[in-house]
Amino acid sequence: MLEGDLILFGCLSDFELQLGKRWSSVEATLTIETLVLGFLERAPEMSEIVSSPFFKVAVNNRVEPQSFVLNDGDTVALLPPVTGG
Amino acid sequence: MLENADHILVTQQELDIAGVYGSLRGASSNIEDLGAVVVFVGLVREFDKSLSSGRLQILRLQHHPELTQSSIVDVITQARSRWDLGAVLVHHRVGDLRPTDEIVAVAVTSKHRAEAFDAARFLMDKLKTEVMLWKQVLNADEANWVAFKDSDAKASSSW
Repeated sequence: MLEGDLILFGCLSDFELQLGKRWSSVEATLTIETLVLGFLERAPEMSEIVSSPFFKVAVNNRVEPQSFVLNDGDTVALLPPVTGG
Repeated sequence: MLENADHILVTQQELDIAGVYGSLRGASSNIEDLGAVVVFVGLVREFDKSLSSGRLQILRLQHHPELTQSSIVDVITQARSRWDLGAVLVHHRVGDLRPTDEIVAVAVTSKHRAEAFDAARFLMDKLKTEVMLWKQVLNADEANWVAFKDSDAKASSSW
């Protein structure tokens, strides 16, 4: 069992009800890509946001690629396309 | 990498625009043959089409405390790799802002105006697509996240 904190930023914070504040998996190995696919099953309305080339995921305050393998206790942040400036 | 003359500020306090120019001149005093200073200031606009009233009362800026700073460093590093710049300054508000508030200040110094203008525009274009900030517009009845604009993506990828 893998689990950790989940932080949602920007418009993705609207999906906190479906996704909660923790991520978890019964798989022994879990990539960011697989984790996000699981989130999409619970919140399909997110699909347009997470399919954007500007969507990013940070693990322990570092942006990581979709192939990144998560460790137990990692803090995952979902970062939708930014809108600052 | 930042140079000693560079300065980044992400703050909930009002931006000190006169101070921006002064600190940039001060930071550039040891730069030989300084010929140009460009300062861009972005303001909060009151009108927003996503709200049914068309007018916002608050613009809320959310940031990622750790990643916002490092993503600004990345953008400045990119600018420095393209142009020979004296000092680079990026100050950005976060939290709740009101119409006409200064939201962002970008300033650069260089020997000649062309590279200062280009670098300032580059920094703003990249701030819009690469720096970890998210806007939400609010009034008494509604709260909408600002949508990512294709025009911002095009401006950013044009460099």
